[in-house]
Amino acid sequence: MIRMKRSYGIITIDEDKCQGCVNCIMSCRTEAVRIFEGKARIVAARCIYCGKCFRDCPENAITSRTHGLADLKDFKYTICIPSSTIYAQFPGEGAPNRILCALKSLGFDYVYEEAIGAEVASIATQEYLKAYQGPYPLISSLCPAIIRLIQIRFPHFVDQINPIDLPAEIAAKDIRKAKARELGIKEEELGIFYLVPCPATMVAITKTETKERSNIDRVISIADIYGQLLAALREVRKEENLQQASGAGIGWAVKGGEIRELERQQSLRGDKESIVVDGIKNAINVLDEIENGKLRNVEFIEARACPEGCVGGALTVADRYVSRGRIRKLMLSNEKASAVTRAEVVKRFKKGYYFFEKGLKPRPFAGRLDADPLKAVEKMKVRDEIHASLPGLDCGACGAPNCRAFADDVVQGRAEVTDCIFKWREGVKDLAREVMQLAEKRPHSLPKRGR
Amino acid sequence: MQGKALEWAYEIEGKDFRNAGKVSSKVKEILKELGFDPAFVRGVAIASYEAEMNVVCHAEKGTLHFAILPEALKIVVEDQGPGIPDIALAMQEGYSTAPAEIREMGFGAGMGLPNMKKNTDELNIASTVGKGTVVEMVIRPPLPRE
Ligand SMILES: Nc1ncnc2c1ncn2[C@@H]1O[C@H](COP(=O)(O)OP(=O)(O)O)[C@@H](O)[C@H]1O
Ligand code: SF4
Ligand SMILES: [Mg+2]
Repeated sequence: MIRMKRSYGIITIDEDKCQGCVNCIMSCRTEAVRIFEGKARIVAARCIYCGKCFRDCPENAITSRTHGLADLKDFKYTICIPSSTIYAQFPGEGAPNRILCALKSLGFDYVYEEAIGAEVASIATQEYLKAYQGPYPLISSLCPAIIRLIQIRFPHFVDQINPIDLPAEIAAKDIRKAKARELGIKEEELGIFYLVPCPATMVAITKTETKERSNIDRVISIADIYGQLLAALREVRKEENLQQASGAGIGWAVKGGEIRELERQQSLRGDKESIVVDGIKNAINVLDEIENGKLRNVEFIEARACPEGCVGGALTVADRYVSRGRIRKLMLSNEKASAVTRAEVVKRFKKGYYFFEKGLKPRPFAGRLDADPLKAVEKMKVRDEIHASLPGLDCGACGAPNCRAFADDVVQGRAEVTDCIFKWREGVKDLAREVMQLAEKRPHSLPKRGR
Repeated sequence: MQGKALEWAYEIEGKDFRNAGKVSSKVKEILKELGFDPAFVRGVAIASYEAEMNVVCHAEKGTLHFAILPEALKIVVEDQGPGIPDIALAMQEGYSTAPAEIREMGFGAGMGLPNMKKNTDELNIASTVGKGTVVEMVIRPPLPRE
């Protein structure tokens, strides 16, 4: 059988599995999915790569994959940096160190925790906040799906994104230097593999916008190697000591973990509010209220696209609520001294070591109707007229998530009004009436009826 | 944009704090779709939000009229309500007659009208005590950057 797959950047839709139902178009918060010729299609300019549709597709037709374990052979020495969500993926027997050992046994030479990077990122953020004078609120830089949402929908907030790099990037930069020195090999000979919970991080690494090139060489999802990891976990006999991070860093895997550490270190001013928000719709609401000036006086926002935070990531396996409980337990039991030397981080922070190399750019025009303002106005008029003429049921049968989005598609030439089944039926009715009228007519050469 | 004025009108309910802000969000979405400069959109959002909130906080009900004219945006918010007896006084920073329960909700800092002034090119207020208020704002977008 020929498998029909269609790719959109890192996202792939298996068109043999896709039934063209409306689940994905309805699930997407940025209205980035349409059904076309019976299959789901992604409008890349609107997609923020959160992966919500992966979870909501009943056929499991939507996936993403970049690299695999086969790539291990490309490097002399390989290091795996697992997302902190990894500690929540296994029941009972999966103590953190055991999980890291199992991970290493899949073929890596070393395992270094993302959570260490999170501890460093937190200290760097604490230092940054010391001198920060606004504009408020400062927005967490962790979730790449939220960053993209801001670039597209709230472009002037881009300057308010915390400019401290992703924990995994920080961890990669540090461990690459340290291992190259220790082993006496070139930095390029090291392969750093990041084990991620979501497609958004995959994109943030492979198509990084904050530096010339990511510090990470390959990205693999937790879901992709879960089976192998589970098997390896049962095989672990002798454990070496790989687990170094404390609860402060591990906590970033759940919503609120980042702010919790800032509060513990008394880095927030306290005369302002701090907000933890999860889910894209909720994040849009909060950002919208701040943009209007309805929500003022907020100093820090920790926004995560996934409910419960990264443990809810689309490429994780364990249930997000169970995961949250597991991470919270670890946060409490792992209050051990951190492996990170604060003074060293502060020294490097002052040298600018942890900042994005390039500033994030707004993408304000992703949602506009036309590049030409006159045409945009014209299109908006027509769009609103079309919208007003639609039944307003938001049924999705046209392939768009709601009547407004459908009217948009029509005005942009991506759909026809008759794709709406109600409009189509009206058209058929009109046509039938015309046919009837025509059928009534007789050529003038014939005598009139009834004569 | 000669002869192609676009106009919208939205109703605002007094004391409906749950839906407060929805009208100015709509105005903002429209401007974003039309590709206006983000900083400009932000200013309009703040001005229209404050005008909307004044109807919610101080009046019974009102309407926000929003028009895109050839060279400017015009927002007119008219309401049926108590009116403003002394407009110059109301314009002062920090002046507010908002009752305690509204202040408790975080509104009524007396910065609404000053913020509207700050974020608009023209602000005209006409008010009849016992009848209502009409607030007219004109905002000119920055010239295209090309
Ligand atoms: N639409 C209105 N109707 C009646 N009174 C108003 C209206 N708008 C403003 N005011 C009066 O002007 C005062 C100042 O308004 P504003 O600067 O927005 O501050 P605030 O709304 O926080 O009180 C209000 O407290 C109120 O007395
Ligand atoms: S919340 Fe975490 S897992 Fe979800 S999209 Fe954002 S970074 Fe990825
Ligand atoms: Mg006010």
